Amino acid sequence: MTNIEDQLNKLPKGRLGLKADWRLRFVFLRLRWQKRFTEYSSLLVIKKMAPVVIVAALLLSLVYLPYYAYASEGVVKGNILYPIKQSIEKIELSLADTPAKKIEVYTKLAERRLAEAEKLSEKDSKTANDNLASTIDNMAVLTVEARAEIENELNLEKKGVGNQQNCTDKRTAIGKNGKNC
Amino acid sequence: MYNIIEMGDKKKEKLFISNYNQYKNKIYTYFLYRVNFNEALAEDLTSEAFLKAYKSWESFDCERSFQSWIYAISHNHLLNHYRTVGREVSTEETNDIATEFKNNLEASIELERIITEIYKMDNYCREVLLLRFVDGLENKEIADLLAKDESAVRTQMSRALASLRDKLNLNL
Repeated sequence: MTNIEDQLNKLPKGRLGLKADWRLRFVFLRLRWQKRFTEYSSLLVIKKMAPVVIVAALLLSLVYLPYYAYASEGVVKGNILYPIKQSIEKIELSLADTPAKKIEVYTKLAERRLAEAEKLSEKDSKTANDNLASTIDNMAVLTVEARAEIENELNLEKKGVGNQQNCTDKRTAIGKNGKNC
Repeated sequence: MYNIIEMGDKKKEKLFISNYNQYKNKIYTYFLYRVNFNEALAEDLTSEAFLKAYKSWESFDCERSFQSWIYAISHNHLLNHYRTVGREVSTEETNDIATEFKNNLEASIELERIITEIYKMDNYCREVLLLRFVDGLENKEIADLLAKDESAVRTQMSRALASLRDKLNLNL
């Protein structure tokens, strides 16, 4: 090694100031926490939102699908939602408590079957024809059921009137004999 | 040899901080000698260079040494800085640089003379000498950093040393 190289090797080296050093370390720390927080918060959001999104989707499907199945004319026999539509109609029928309401519901259902039959008749396939036949049968069954129901109600009413008559007669008799009906 | 990708976050962080501790003064010295011994500016540039390194630490090539990598980052950062503020140092300024050098680094009169002569040299000669004797890099590392051939760096070093020797009238 020559003298000049010795001299050059003696050139002084700098030292990073304490303030700058700590400032930089603080920035590293901040960046590290920022990165961790971002990762954690994004995970947290996904974790928190996932059940909410799933429940919302389930609720929406639970409310909307039956509504669509019931209200849409496009849901005809052969459609995946048709059983739901039939179930709702059965419930509707069972909820009708007066003969007048029952007749109203039966009429509505018969109209619906007719509309479905029209829809199905627009299709050419064999399955569509089979479904059309089944829908018309269904409509016929509904009509028979409605008739039976109406007759039954009328009979009950007649009986009710008869019983009332009997009771009135009996009351007259009670008045005379001192016994209740 | 360690593999950055397979390492956990904490280990990576620890390794970076350990490298930072080892090289912070070297990088600060690198900037200090190239920004006319302006300490505040050298500190800022050191911080910025290490921040760049920290942000791209994930992509650090484990086949490379940290020293080469951090010097490459610092060198590019310095070039960007020169591009922004302008680099040219006039002869009049060289004397001011030597004074700054003497005051900030408490250097002897002999060393002040050496630094004055070094700053009078062309950029390439000066860079080769500083990288070798101040930053302590090997010829290969200098060649990689300056994108030159290793033999060319060696030749340039000999020429620069001879020139400096002549100017300072020092004996072998």
